[in-house]
Amino acid sequence: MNVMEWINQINGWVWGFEMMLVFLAVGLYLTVRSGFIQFARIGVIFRETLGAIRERTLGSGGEISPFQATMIAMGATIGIGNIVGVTAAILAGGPGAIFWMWIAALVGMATKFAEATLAVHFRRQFADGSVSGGPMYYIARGLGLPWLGGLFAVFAAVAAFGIGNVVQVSAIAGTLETQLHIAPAWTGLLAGLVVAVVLAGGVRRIAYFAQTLVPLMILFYLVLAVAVLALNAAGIWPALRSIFESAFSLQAGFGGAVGVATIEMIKAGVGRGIFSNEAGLGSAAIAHAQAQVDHPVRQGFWGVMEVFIDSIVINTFTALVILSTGAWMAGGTPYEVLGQGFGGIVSAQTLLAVALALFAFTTLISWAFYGEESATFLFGEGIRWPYRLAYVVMAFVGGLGSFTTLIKLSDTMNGLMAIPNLIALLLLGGVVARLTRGFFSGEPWTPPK
Amino acid sequence: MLKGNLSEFPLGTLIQTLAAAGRSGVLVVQPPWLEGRVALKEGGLYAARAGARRGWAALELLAGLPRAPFVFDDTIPLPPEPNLNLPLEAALARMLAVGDRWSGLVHLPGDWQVELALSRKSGEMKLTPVMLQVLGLVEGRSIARILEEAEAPPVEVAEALDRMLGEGVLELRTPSEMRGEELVALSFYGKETGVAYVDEALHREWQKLLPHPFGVRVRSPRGQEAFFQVRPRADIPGRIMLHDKDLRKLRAGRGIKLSVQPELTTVG
Repeated sequence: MNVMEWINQINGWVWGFEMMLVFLAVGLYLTVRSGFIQFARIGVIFRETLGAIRERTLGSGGEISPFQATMIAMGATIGIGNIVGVTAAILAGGPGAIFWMWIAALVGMATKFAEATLAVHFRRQFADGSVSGGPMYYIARGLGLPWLGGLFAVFAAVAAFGIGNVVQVSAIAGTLETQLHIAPAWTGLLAGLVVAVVLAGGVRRIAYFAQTLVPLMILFYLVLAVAVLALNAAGIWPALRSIFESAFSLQAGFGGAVGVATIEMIKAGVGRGIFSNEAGLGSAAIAHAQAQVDHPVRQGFWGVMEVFIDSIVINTFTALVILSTGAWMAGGTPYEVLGQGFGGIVSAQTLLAVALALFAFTTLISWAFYGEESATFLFGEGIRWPYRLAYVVMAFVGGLGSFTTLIKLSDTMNGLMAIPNLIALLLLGGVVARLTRGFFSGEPWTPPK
Repeated sequence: MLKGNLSEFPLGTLIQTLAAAGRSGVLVVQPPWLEGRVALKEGGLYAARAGARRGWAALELLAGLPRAPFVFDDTIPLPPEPNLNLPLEAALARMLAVGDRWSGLVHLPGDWQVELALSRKSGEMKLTPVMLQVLGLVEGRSIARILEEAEAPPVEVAEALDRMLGEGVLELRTPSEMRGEELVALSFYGKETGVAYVDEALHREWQKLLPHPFGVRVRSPRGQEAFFQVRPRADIPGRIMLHDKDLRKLRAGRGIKLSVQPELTTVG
């Protein structure tokens, strides 16, 4: 067996159905340990996040606001998977897959809550007021296993170059070439330049970039989706009905044995519900750790909101467009189906291309930060500029070639990130429970020494 | 030279000790807001002065000081004329009785630099002649100046002030240099309502300007206001933390800018 076959085998395993079950099991465990936070405290979560949106820029002392940290996280979480991935899930599992995606997302909310909470609790604060945190820190400091934290950091630093960089630049270049006839070399050059300018400003510039672009990008996509839905208003109710009806129907899916189709539907939906919002992978926790908050649980609420916006709002709008227009019925590749779905209004396909490019671009920036923080955990502060430079070069060349091996390797690394992270979440569930109880008792937060 | 603080050596005990030793000299008491002097001649009380007060009234005023640094210096020349002619035992017994009356006051703050003002509260209260006298003096004056300048004996003035503070006729005035702050609301949860948390640094700053116990009056942009006890909390610069229920009563929410004014409290 050669290296590529090894990578493929591990890849199949880390992104496989069994692993999905592990994600769900950890999510359910954290749901219980946090006192069913995503259901029992839903009002508080909304008040503490969207209800406090007016303080989005309130940060000081070299740190960034909770909103800015969440926007960095969402820049990475919301990607082409929210459009293409959801379409692929419907094609693979039928409309019922969306119901199972919602269920997985609800469980994932507790996972993301725990990740964000632990990231703030175990972060390192430096003399200049800056902070660093994420799974590598809560694994090293919370579990006392620095080698396992280091392993997570290795996976994240490598994954950033592939799924965070090359995949995104390729997607942008491909989309812009097809829709706007822009040569990939120009796209790569522009992407490299913008990435260089943003990264040079450190976390504060990344935060400013994310807090401006990510909400606009979400709004842009939702307006586009609403416009399509307005033209197909008659199809919305049947689309919603088909989601619920086929979720429990044994005949869902395309052909094959009834049981197999049902399992395919659940796999497609749950897979999207888990992987779309990255709950369990640990990446977003690196951004959440940067937030200036008085208590880790407060940032945990933003973790829940991140999953809500990603998987419940954006993914649902994509699904409704695909289902209400009937675009999925004819089959085809996800891109073809999307073209059909969004093709109902003038220039919708071009606008969709812009949305896809924006989604990919914010992912590119956020992953740069994840990779840099991970590399810094491994090699110290001196690695920041060499890492940034390598990332910028990769962004430039990303649009020019296929880089199949690198993409496969980084995709596998991305999946492997979940293993140390899920172990930590499982073992630190008690800390999450204690912090949550403390927060709702009005106790001040005491960071670990 | 003998040095100490009245919080450790009450005035009566100090005078008794010096008298028993047959000392001559001047006991200088120096709280920040006035200077008091008690002169002893060969173990007997000779003269006393506290701000504008002289004689027994000065001694009565000094007996009300819960804390103040003192120095007994036998090199300071005695005043030319005596103004105390009470026998020592009788004077000590009177001081003891006066001390009991001072210690029975619950609303009058220990810091006499604090200024008083007539409150805006309405209500009925039967006023004594001393109270009437005091009411004519309070506006814009510190407690120390009122105690010095009123005609009635200091302890009677103090009792009148204490009663009127307790009834809400008078209120403590926050120093003019104490500015209000615009702080962003942050909610907390749990059982404890009626409490506001501000950042440790801001609380320390307020404590320096307001040695007396203080709270905060919080006003929301919608015009609602309430008074809260205030406590320090780490890592909330620019914020005021209020219980979620209190925030709702103020018709405010997290992220709303609230006007926060520290105010002295009479019960500490």
